[in-house]
Amino acid sequence: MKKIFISSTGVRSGQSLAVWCVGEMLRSQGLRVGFFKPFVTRPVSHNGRIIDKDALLMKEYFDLPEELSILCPVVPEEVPGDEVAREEQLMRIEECYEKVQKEKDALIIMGSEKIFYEPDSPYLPDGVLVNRFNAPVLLVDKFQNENMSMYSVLAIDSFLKDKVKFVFVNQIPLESVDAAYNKLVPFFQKRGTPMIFLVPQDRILTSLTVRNIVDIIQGEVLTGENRLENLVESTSISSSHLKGSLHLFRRIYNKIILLGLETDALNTPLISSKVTGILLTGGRRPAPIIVNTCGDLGIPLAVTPFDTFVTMEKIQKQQTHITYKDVYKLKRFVQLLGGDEAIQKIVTQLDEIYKF
Amino acid sequence: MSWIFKINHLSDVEKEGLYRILIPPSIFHRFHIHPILFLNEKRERLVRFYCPPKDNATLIEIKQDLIDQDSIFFVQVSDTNDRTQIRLDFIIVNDPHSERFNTDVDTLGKDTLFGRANRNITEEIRALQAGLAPGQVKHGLRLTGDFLQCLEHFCRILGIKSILLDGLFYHNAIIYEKYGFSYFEGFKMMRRINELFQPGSILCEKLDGSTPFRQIGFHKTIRGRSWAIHDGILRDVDDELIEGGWSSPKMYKMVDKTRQICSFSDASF
Repeated sequence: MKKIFISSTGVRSGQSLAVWCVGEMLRSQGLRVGFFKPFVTRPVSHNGRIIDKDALLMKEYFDLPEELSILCPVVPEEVPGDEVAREEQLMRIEECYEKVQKEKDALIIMGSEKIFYEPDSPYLPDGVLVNRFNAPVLLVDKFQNENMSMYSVLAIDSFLKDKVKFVFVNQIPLESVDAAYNKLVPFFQKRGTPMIFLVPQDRILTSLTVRNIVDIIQGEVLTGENRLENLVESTSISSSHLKGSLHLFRRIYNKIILLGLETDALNTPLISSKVTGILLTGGRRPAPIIVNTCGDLGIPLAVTPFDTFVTMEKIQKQQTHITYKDVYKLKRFVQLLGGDEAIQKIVTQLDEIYKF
Repeated sequence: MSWIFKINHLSDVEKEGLYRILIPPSIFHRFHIHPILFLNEKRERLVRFYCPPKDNATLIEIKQDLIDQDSIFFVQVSDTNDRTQIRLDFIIVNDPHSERFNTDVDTLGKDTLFGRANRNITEEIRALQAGLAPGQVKHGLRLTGDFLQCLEHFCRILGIKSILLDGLFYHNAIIYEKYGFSYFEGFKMMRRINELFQPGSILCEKLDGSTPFRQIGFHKTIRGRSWAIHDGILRDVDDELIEGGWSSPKMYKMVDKTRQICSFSDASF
């Protein structure tokens, strides 16, 4: 069985998407893919239990038979951080690991949110787990600058004794892509390892969907249910975005306009933002003409009980996590990573590692 | 880059400091709100700003109590394509101590869009009798002049040359005229309305008491004419310039340059 441990240099690096992406790559090769994440780091309450959002995503998408409490067994907050507890945690992790690897050709093990050791972290350091599972590592690094990425990768690889085999340098601002490519790729090519992939910052990956926003603001959809997967890059209260029959909305002051890409335009991401949804704030029901106008134009319209200020605060503060419905993000990530060529490189390299 | 968009990228303290200029100072005094901290005597923050980076509009709202349905002061301004202009999208001022008339929602609680989509006739009659103009849900605080001075001052600081707005109702357009606004579009319509409201002319004749909003004598006042127009009186007249009824005129004011436009001379409110 092939194993790969996916870790991250920091929070919000795109680790979850990388895990999903590698899983999909391996499955596309006909492998039976399993998933294991020792610690709940993205908790959510589910039927009265704390579960992990990544485990839920992988279970739903890959149709994994194991219980969520097996796929991601340890809730750090539930146990004290002493030595005895740590031992118990390790025993529980190993017990579950034995179960999830059964009848699998490839197992993805997902680390915590950051691989660097932190004394007050409730999780066992990823380094300990990597050694315990003796797995090659894929590191996801949120780009800050070339030197920082280089330093992070080399430091972690040295600490893990050359176990880092792949690196995804993610969210590279467009203005830094050339510099990153010219510096990082030759450096690691010359060194021979790890294999490096650069992923530029992307409007599709950073967008929410209208559905995400409706969930966040406890909205009620009045029309446009079939367009809730439209992307939202930004919001505005300005009526200047409202052309044609949407001009009617200029008479409404309790509105927030959602701007982004329509679902049909995901393959042409260079086009400019348009109105992909409209929120009416303050709970007031709109006139039928408003609902009909949006319905005719295929623009989702939702009403939220919160006023404009609270609604915006909720949208800005809320960090949504990818779910199995966000397949467009998975596809986009694979595409940005290099598509089939990248898949082949990663699969071949994994084959090489497990040849003997 | 336009000004509101640019200001919205500043820190909260900086942008709130600038947008504070748009609030008439008398509001702070009258409602016991600290003009710097925006706190009332109970240390509740009653002034809220919506001005996130990337948006080209800003919204300021003041309530007497955060749970109140209506604001005391609500203003929204936005950029236009020309960085020497600013658009006044909305200005709403309500006296929190006055009675509320639900003219903004119909009997099912749905938005009337200021009468464009639907009307709540019962509430409108009550509002009319209480001395309100169309579109108002409460009495105002007579702050339009003060606010426009604040807005001009804001423009002056930034080098903005003109203020654009739509005169939503007839009375709004006349009031903006009095404060020195002129017309991009709609002046001919306004002038024609005035002509047709003269005694003996068709609009004046149609003020026959057939509805509560078309009372005899309404042609003499801004508010009376506005109610009659809101009631659709213009659609009952076959005239080239007012064909299709009321259409909000597009108005502008050059900062520090007052125009003397008057489409209703000797008008009283």
